[in-house]
Amino acid sequence: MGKFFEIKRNKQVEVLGYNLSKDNQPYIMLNINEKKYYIYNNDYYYFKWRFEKA
Amino acid sequence: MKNLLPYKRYAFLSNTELIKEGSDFLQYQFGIEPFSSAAGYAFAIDPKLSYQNYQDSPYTDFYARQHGLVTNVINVMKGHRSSLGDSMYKIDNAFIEDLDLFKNFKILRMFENQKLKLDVYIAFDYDEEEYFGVYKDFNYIMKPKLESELFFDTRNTNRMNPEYRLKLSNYIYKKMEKWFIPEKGWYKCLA
Repeated sequence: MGKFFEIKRNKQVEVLGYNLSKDNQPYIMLNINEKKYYIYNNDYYYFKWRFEKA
Repeated sequence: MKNLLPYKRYAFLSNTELIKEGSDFLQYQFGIEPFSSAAGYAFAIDPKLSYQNYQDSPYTDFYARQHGLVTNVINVMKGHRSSLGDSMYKIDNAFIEDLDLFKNFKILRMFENQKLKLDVYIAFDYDEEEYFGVYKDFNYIMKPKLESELFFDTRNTNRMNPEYRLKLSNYIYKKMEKWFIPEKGWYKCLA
């Protein structure tokens, strides 16, 4: 489990890529303020609901 | 009088081991089918008499062999048919025919269920009518199956057999899986 990280509305993030974990679960790599973050599990599926292409 | 035996007119016939024409006769006369007997259980037969002889047997002439050859080929075809479920021999594929009728795929809602997996509720058009469906445990280890009211529509019950349902389920699942993958680039937070 990672940490909770809040993003404000209209904040822009960069998607670096998508991959599969060792358990064959998909995850997204994000770049926010020059820091790398990973989105796993159920949050992965919510990504496109919560973010829009800028 | 004590040892009075019931009179059976044809008792001697049933007591003897008869070769019954219906079952055993053919086996003794022509030999059993080459495919069905395991090693060591086959009868010694005169191959020239057997109409179910091996098609490559050098002991039978060409014309006699043809029967065996055709029988074996038919057996192979039958085996294939049963294992492939007739799909090879169907001229039409109902799902492929209907593919253009499925349009407007939408994800309506996603809920986290008690297993902490997602239930994904979808809607789609089939033949210009809207239907609803759900993939329960979408991101579970096992691939989810589509449950939809479409399959319970009396107009479709004959057309949409389990094969059709499985194909449709996998078709929409693949579409959704692709949709969830984000492209590289910049995204704006909506929430």
